[in-house]
Amino acid sequence: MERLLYATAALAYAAPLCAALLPRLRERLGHVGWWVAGLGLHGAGLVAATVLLQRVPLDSMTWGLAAVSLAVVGTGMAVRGREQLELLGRILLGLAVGLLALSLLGPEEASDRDFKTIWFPVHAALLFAGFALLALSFALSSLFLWVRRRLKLRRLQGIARLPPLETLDRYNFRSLVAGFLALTAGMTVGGMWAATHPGASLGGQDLTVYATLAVWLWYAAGLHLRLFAGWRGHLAAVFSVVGFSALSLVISVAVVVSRSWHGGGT
Amino acid sequence: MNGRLVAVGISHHTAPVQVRERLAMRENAIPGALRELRHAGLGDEAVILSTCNRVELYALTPPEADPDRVAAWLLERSGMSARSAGSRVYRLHSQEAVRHLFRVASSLDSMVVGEPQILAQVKAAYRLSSDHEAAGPTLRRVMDRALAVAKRVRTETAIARETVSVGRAGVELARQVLGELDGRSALLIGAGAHGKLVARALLDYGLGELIVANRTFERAAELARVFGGTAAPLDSIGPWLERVDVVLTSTGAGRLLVKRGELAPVVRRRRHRSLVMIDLSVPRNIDPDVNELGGVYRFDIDDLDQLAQTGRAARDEAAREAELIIAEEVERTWRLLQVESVRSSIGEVVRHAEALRQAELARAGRVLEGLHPEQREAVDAMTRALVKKVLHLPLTQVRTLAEQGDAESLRTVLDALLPGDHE
Repeated sequence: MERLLYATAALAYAAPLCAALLPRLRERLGHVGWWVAGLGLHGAGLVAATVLLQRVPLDSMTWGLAAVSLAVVGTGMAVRGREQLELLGRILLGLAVGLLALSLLGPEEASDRDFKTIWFPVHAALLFAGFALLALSFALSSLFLWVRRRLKLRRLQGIARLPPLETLDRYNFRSLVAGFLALTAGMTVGGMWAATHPGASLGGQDLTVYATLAVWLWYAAGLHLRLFAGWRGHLAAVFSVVGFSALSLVISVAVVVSRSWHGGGT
Repeated sequence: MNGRLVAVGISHHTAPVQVRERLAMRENAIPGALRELRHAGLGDEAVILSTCNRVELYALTPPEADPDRVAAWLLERSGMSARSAGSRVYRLHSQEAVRHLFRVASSLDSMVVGEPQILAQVKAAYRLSSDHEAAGPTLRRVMDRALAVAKRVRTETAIARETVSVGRAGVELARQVLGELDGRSALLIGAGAHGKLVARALLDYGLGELIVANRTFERAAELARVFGGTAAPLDSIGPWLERVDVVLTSTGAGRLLVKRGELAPVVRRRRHRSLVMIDLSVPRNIDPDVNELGGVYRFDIDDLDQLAQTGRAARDEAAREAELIIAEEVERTWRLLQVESVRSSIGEVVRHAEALRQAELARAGRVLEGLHPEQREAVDAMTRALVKKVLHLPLTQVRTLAEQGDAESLRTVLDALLPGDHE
């Protein structure tokens, strides 16, 4: 049932985004009500999945991605009404639609493994939180690159409606640091959980783990260059966009091909 | 008016800054240009207005002089051909020339509609022309009216209140890159009006430090004192370029002061910190290629125009009211010019009639000699009164036609009253 709710929510989010591209439909579909309706359906789907399983299914890729998507939508809704941030809201909502669609491609059921220990939910929650923050960094970086391009090409008509570059860069850095820390903590906790939980898979064939590690190294390098070599602005934004694209690719492969994060149903 | 009033030039509406900077004239070059124009037989009276956004020539040309020749003269003295840039030059005459001048002075033709600088620039151009005896009675009349009309427009409409000023537009550009300006620093190179406006606006929006560099250090020190900033010699701005967040150039140097090759190592040392460069000079002072350097955002005077489009609806309303005032004033001024131009013709008619009277009195000389002096005086007074009464009606008609601007009827009446050609 929750999948039906997610799918309907994704359509509700997508409707005004599509309408924005078609002036004739904008009047009819541009209302914030579509997003509020989507948010309601989205939240209902998460609650339904939780009630059906009688626990918070953090070990489910579907549930986790839907939760990340909800967080992204929430942030988008919060900023879209603010001056200069409407476009950021739209980018975040578009991103949320993609994540929700990806969650629908995940496996039907949550893991049936016995994860009674606290470590695994903490590991998964931290990773999903990190993913959500890096998604925010991606949205801010995309907007940064777009505003920068307009300034460089000196297309200034209406530019005051967009946020200043330094502001975008500052928030990008903050979300990047927070996301990276959450990702690092999540991976550390996951390692500890795997070391203590019999049967947990972290074998050599688990490519998603290594891919995630590679993405983590990418972000670590980006932050290092930012803090010690003064990289900021354009370069930092490109770094973030590439990093998140790679992370999204890893997750997509995990969801669509491996049907789980660790190739063993979790 | 012994000639045709023409307005020839280019502006930000017709030509980009690359073309405008080629035609631009520095203040000290204008007297020479006015002399050249006179020697070329293209205008005994002339005013040249050269600003960042326009280069215009207002002249009273001989009736037979083609405005195209004036346009060609303007282009050729800048090394441009009529074929390559002729389409960018507008040529207006008579009432349209007056209307254009009034619109320019009233800031309706400005890049930032309603901005006050243009009025000061028109005044300065007029003063320069007067100082070099290039503004004759006709242009003096028109320029005086233009200044009065501009004041009326500013007083009676909201145009000045609805303006996104050049200064504010500069602030918006800086803030679009840097965010809030608190604690930021700027380097102002030159003492041009636009540069000072932007610098003042930046300070009003929280700029922390202003450094002023100028060709003459004394002028830089004076400006720095006014702004509460620091003065620097123009030849040692390198270290400041490395430090500041905003660079403003507003000079009459006529050459590039900041080149890409020289700025590139400075940008590397800045370690990716953003640098906003606003070039308010025409000809430009900052190499356009610096925009290709990472972290450098270069803008020029045309970019301010784009930002100035905001709040356009309110300004458009004020501009519509201003246009009505200008239409009324053009009509009034043109009538005035016509009346003044027929004043000499009227004098000619009166002189001609007096000559005829004297001739007739001379012919009757032998008869008149026989009269008593008192009788001779009575005849003289009677003929004088007769001529006056005969001329009264046609001359009143001439004045009325002049006021109505009916040039064709005016010419017919004057033809009937005077032998030979007259304007």
